Amino acid sequence: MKRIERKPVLNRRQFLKTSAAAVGGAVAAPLIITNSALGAAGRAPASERIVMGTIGLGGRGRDVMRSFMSEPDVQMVAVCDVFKNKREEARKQVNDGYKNKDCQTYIDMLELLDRPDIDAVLIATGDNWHSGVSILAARAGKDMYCEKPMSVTIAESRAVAETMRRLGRIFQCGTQRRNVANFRFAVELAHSGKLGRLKELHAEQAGIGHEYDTVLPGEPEPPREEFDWNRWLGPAQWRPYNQKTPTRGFWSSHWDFSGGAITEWGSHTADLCQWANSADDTGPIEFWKEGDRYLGRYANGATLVLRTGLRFGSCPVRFEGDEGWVETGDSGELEAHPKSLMGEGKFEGGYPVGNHVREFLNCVKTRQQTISNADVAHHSITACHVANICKRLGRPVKWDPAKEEAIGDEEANRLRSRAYREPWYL
Amino acid sequence: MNDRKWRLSAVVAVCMAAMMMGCVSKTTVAEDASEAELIAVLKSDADWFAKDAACRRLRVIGTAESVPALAALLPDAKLSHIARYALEPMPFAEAGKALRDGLAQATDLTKAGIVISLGARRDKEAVPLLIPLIMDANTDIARTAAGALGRIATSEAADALLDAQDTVAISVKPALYEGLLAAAQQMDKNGEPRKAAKIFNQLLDPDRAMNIRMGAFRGLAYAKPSADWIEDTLEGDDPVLRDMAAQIVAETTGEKDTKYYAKELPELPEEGQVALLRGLAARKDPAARPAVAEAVASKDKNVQLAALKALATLGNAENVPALMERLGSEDEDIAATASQTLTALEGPEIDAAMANGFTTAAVPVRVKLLELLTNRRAAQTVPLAVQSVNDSDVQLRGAGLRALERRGGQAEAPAVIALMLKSTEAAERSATESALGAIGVRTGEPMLPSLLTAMKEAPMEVRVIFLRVIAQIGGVQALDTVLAAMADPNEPIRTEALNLLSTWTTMDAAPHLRKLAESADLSQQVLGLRGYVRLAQSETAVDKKITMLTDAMGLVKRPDEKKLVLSAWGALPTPQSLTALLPQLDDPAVKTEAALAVINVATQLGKQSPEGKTLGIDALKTVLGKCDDATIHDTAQNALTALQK
Repeated sequence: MKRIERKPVLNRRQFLKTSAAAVGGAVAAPLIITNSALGAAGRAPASERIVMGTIGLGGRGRDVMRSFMSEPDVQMVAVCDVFKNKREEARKQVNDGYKNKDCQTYIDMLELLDRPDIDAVLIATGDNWHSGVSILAARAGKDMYCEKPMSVTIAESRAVAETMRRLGRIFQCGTQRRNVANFRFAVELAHSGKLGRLKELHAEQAGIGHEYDTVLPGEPEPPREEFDWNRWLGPAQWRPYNQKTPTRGFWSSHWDFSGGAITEWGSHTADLCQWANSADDTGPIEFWKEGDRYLGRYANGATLVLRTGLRFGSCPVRFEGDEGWVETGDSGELEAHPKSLMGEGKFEGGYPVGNHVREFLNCVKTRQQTISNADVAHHSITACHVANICKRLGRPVKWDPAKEEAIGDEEANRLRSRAYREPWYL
Repeated sequence: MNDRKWRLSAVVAVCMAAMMMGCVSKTTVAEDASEAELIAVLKSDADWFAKDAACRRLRVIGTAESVPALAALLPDAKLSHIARYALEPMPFAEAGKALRDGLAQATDLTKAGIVISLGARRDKEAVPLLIPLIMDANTDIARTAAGALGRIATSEAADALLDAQDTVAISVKPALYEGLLAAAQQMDKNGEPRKAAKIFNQLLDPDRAMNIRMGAFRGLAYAKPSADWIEDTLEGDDPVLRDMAAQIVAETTGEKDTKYYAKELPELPEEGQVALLRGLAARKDPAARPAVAEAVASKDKNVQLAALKALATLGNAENVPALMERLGSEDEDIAATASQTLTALEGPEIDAAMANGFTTAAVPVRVKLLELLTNRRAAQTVPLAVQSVNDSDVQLRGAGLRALERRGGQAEAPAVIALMLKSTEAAERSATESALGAIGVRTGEPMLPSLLTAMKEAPMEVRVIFLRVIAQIGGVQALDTVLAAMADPNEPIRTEALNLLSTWTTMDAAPHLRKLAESADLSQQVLGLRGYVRLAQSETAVDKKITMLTDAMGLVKRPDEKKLVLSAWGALPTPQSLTALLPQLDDPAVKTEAALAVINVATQLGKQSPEGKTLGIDALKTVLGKCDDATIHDTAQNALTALQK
């Protein structure tokens, strides 16, 4: 076996670590290490700091960016969005947070990704770009925290998972409920066997979705500096500009840009069901519709139920076994049967993302896999995508989770992927 | 118009009605349009929107019949992508041929797009066409060609990528290396690990970008597994590859390799040991346990911490003594990590091992152990907690009380009562009261006899505490005890009893509170009335509530209490409330409170029924007529206006 040659190409953090060590010893050449590099009060020294940029600066992006900035070992240095107003708001948020004027703005994410000083990126674009930007970030050598849903098609998230492994990147999907106490408690109940053999795993979807693929008529396109239409479309099909198209109310139900209601919350709730069913590396083997519900049967006999009407705020889940059940949601409320299963569990509601962010940062430093790594997130979102294929075709779909293909249904298989618009490729 | 033309018009009909209604959708095709009709749309002079819609539909239902019409769109910059959108997922050889043929006619980005689709289809026949494109002057074409060849991953494709390494444009190199990685991975998957390993080895060159090297490292680790090589890397000074090696240890399996890693562990430098311990922890092979347990005794703190963490997944009962020893470490990091590991380890045998070492452990360790055992719901918690509350050390007694507060039952009550009788320190008495109260709430009335017995021999201040605990338990006997205590010869007992009665939460106290409200003693009168009104507010039956509040109104003697009753009436939207409240508008001492209560009742009543609205309007007019205060006046007027709408 060839021994690995060790001529390390230092990244920024390694360079600073080496330099700082050198400062501690006798160094002939002068070396200036700023206060900032050595770490001011409450901040980690630069060698331990993860320098970051954010791509996609809507409300969610700025919220999660705030969580990253609250970590002492993160330095946010760049923000990128195709909308000028969002770029400027985010720049102000970063500069106000650090009380400096250092944050750089970018229309083009490729320029941000080209910066060698950036270790990791937060990706919070629209769903259409999640996979594409993740792959571009990996090619640029960055680790990434990418908002959910991970992809618009099965082929995309498969490509993301393969790319992360291929290029040794750390990926955390923004399915932060895996790091929120009440959801973890519910999953642990399922894993403990206290619910008995799992029978039904209920995942709330974001309402009864009525998705479409409408193409809107053209309108005069704004200047690129104000809004970069071509870059917003990204890998999706070209069409003329219309100001309504890039609004969330429109694109989030459009098949070209999103997986609609099922992936909007299913990326969280089906993900938790997958986890509860110890199915992080597989998925249901068939999907069908009953009323407003989409059901998926796992090989172990459990049924995934994508539905509405569960309790306890947004993104609730319910795990039912033959000996008990548990239900919880974003309100933090949790109910279980028998009641003794609840123990002393008291949980706070809300949408805390801090633990998930922290876990990602720890993994960036240790190169361990995150809890919502690309393989896990791919299998979860695939369950949602197959349900969507069932929805679009209006018929049951038999599915081979190992081959990731529909059985005996060529039309279903064509919906597993979408041709990327040039020059973007998976 | 013939039938075919008429149908075509229908297929591409603009949704005029929808557009007139403000719907912004543009030209579309009928959902049930046949493949032949969709092909006709593509061949017609229909606008871009119609052709876009036809391609979308053909993506799902199109057969080989539609390929020529789609292929004809490939050179069209505005329609090329949507044509690929339909062609790319088609399982027919005709679709692949159309894309390959399309390459010749296409230019620039359109050509890059076709390359992307050929790569996505893993079209082996396209390899000879793609190879020259790696050198294309258009870097978009060159990059996508490198990516496509990597994805197709034939030997010919991989060789072409290897050959081009030194000659492609610098901006194309990252795509080329990634293509090589992809090709090598695919080869390994296809049963050609030697070829794959050859490529991975080349890509490990230190001049390559770190992500390429990391990918190559991982690829090589799988294509040509070697624990020796992994261990070499862990021993090395490249921190990124070291962490990657640890991750490979974590992802792979095999007892033989685990034992090898375990043997080599002490020989590694500090950073290597830390990384390997992390990998072994995630690998979860018990064969590593002895080596990890030894590493807990390392002189290096980081190694110690990593070993302690690793025991969370690898440890068993045999490791508990070492963990307990670290629990008492003066180093906070060590102690905290040992605590986390003892929390993470599961099973009754762990509980037993912790309990076995409890008695001989130092007091600070025992304090922590009790908390851990409590959190673990260990069966040994309660007996050890009882043992602790009898200990001479005050810290340990405190830990025992905290444990019993959470886990104690009736059987443990005597020990806690005994401590209460012995204790002289205020802080300890407070902790004991908390424990006793929690046990009492869990146990209920069966605990009362032991408390009542203890009360007889307790000093005055402890009797007061026992009385509070009894009240906390509640029930008929507890209420009787408190009532009896109100006649106690000792003033502190009487005062506490009065306070407890005035805050009683069940309705059986109501007659006693009402009686108290009639007392000549002012403090008894005030506390009794307040308690009575509070109970009235908690009453759910409206008629009973009205009776109690009417009763309370007759008992009030001071404006402060009257305000309290008025406030309670104000939260009760009934006609009787208005009857009680309106006369109070004439009392200057409570006029404002009465007015606010009337406004609230009137507003709520007005929403209930037409009769309620009439009553509400009349009441608000009365307020307006009797109140001069500007704020009250405005509020009443606004409420009146709202009701009159």
